[in-house]
Amino acid sequence: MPHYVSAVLAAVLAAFAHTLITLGSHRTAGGHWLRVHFDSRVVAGYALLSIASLLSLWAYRVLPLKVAVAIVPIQQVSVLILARVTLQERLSVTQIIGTMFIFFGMIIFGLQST
Amino acid sequence: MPNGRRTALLSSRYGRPHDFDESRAPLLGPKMKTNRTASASAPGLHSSVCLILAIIFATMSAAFGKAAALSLARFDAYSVATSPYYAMSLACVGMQALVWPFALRGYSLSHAYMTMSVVYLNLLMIAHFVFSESITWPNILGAALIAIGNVLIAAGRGS
Repeated sequence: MPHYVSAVLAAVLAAFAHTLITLGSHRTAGGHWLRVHFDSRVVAGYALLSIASLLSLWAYRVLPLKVAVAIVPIQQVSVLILARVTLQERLSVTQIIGTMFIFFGMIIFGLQST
Repeated sequence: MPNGRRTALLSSRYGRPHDFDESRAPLLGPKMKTNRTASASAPGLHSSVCLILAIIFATMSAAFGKAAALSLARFDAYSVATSPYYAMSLACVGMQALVWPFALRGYSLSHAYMTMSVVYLNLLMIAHFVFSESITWPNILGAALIAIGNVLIAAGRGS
C-alpha cells in the first residue's frame, strides 16, 4: 500500500513541479536568459521533480510495471488540472479531443508490459 | 513603463495573447501577469526550437539509459557511476532541464506537456532499429493514437 501511495504522490508532485517551472519561466520572461534557472520557483520545481523521481524509483522497486500504465495518465491529468486551476489555461475542443487520444494512446502503448 | 504600454510592447514582440485570462489568474502578481500575457501567446521560433530540443533530449536520455542498463555487467554504485552511457543519459536530462523553461514561455503547460508524448513515438523507433526489440500491435496502435492526438493539439491551437 505505501508503494502505491508513493507512486501516485510522485505523479502529483511532478505535476506541481511542472506548474512551478512554468510560473518561474513566465516570471523571468524578458530578462537575461540565464535568470530563469536561478528563479526560486524553477529551482523549487526541479527540487520537487527530483523528490518525485526518488519516490517513483522506490515505488517501482516493488510495484509491477503495469501500475505505471495507470500512473502515467494520472500525471497527465494532474498537469492539465493544475494548468487550468493555477495558470487559467484553456484548451479548445479540438485540443481536448487530442488530449483524449494521447491518454488512450499511452494506456494502449503500455499494455504489452502488463 | 506603464503596464498598458509594456503589455502592448511585449505583445507586439511575442504575438497576440489568446489563451490566457490574466484577470482570473490567482497565482500571478501584476508584473508577472504582463509577462505571462505576452509569453503565452503565439509561440516564437525560440520556444518551438526549445520544445523540439526538450523532446530530443528526453528521447536520448531514455535511449542512453537503456544502453547503460544493457552495458552494465553488474548493477552496483561503481559500475553505474563509471558508465559512459549513464553519464550521457544524465547529461541529456540536464540539457532537457535547461531548455524546458524556455519552451514553457511560448507554449501553455498543457500544450507543451502533452506534446512531450512524441517521445513515445521516438522511443518506439529507437527500440526497434537500435535495440532490435520487437514491436507489438498495442505499441503501433498506441503510437498512432498519440500521433493523431498531437496533430489535433497542434491544430487546435489556432482554432
